[in-house]
Amino acid sequence: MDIELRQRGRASMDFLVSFGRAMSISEAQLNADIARAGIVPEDLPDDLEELNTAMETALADSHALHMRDLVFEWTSTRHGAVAREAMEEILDDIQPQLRDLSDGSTQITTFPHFTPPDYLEGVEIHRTTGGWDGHPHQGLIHAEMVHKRYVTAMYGGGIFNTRRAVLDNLPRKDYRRIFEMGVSSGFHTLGLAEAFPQAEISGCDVSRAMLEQAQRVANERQLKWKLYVGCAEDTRLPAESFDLVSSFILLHELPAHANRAFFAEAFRLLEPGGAVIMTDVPPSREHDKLTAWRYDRGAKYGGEPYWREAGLLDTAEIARDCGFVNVRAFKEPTGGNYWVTIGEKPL
Amino acid sequence: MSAPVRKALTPDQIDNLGYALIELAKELWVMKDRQMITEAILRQKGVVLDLDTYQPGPDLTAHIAAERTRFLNAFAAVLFHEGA
Repeated sequence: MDIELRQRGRASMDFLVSFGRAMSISEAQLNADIARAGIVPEDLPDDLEELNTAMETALADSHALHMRDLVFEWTSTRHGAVAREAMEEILDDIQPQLRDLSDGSTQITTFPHFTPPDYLEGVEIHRTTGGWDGHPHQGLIHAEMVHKRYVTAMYGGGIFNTRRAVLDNLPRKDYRRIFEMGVSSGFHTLGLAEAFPQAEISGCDVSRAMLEQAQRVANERQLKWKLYVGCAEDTRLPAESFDLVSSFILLHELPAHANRAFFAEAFRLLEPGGAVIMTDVPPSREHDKLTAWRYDRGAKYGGEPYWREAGLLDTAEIARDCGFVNVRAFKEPTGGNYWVTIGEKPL
Repeated sequence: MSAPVRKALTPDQIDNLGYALIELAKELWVMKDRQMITEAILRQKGVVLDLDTYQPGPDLTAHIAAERTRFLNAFAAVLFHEGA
């Protein structure tokens, strides 16, 4: 979508980005404080809770750490509201555009048996007020404001390029019936459509507001996706009806039991010879202890309630337990901080 | 006899002060941004256009971005200055 913000919204979004960049000067200060505190990474505990305690004790007098906490707390609690306010300024102007994009080949259906999962009850992922359905246009806000104008500016376009590039790791290039678990606003779905233009693409998400944005993304490009409001671990779609099941940075938002259920449902949905590819953040064991501490602490206060629990899982082992073979789990080679798990259903 | 020196804030109020300060910085930036656009419009047209919908061109965007960076770097320098 081509959206022009009003002055207040544009300047506020620009502020968020420049503010984040300016605060990065504290990185060197924090590293200096870590060195001054005599912290030896190899001597730190493996257990993440103990690691956090050890680091916070050692850095109790770090001015940089406390100020970073302040900045992080403001940013994590306010970025969503700033984005929402920027979008609300122009909502009336873009209503015709939204109406046009809701009308097309891609439609949304709710699974008749759908009930929101208990593990998301009261959870505000990324500290988004009200969760993904907390605003009638949350999908639009998240995709057009938070993703395109904030996350992309802060972390570079590569964070979205990977949504397509990761698919080059799959064993085949001819998938024709694809199911995506956790469609969200459709960024990865678009990657699937680009990589496999001949494929029929279906997918689900627990948030209708997010799927409405995915629907716009598809209709804008005359793509025909089947989108379902529902839980990926309980689709009740026919068994063996897909040859590829995929998800992108979803697993870390889920508790361990849901992660296992996702792989089990993927196995059920796949025909023999089909493949699963789950891309997410690397498990905590793949990080050095200081990096693991930073990620864990950022997740704890950044609205990632299942980050630690999910990060302790061995996704390759889960895939094998579900029956997948030729399982590989590895860091995405083209860049970014992604962990890819691929498995195939035996013939 | 001079009045006693007192500390107005308790430690658990400092975060609130910090959040308010950052919020204020954001609002100040919005105003600075708006002012620069106002000046640009006045220079270009001699009339006041609709500030809300004005979309700055590449040169003005770059100028605003450079000023925003300078402004926030100065802010960050104060925020992270130890012993302030």
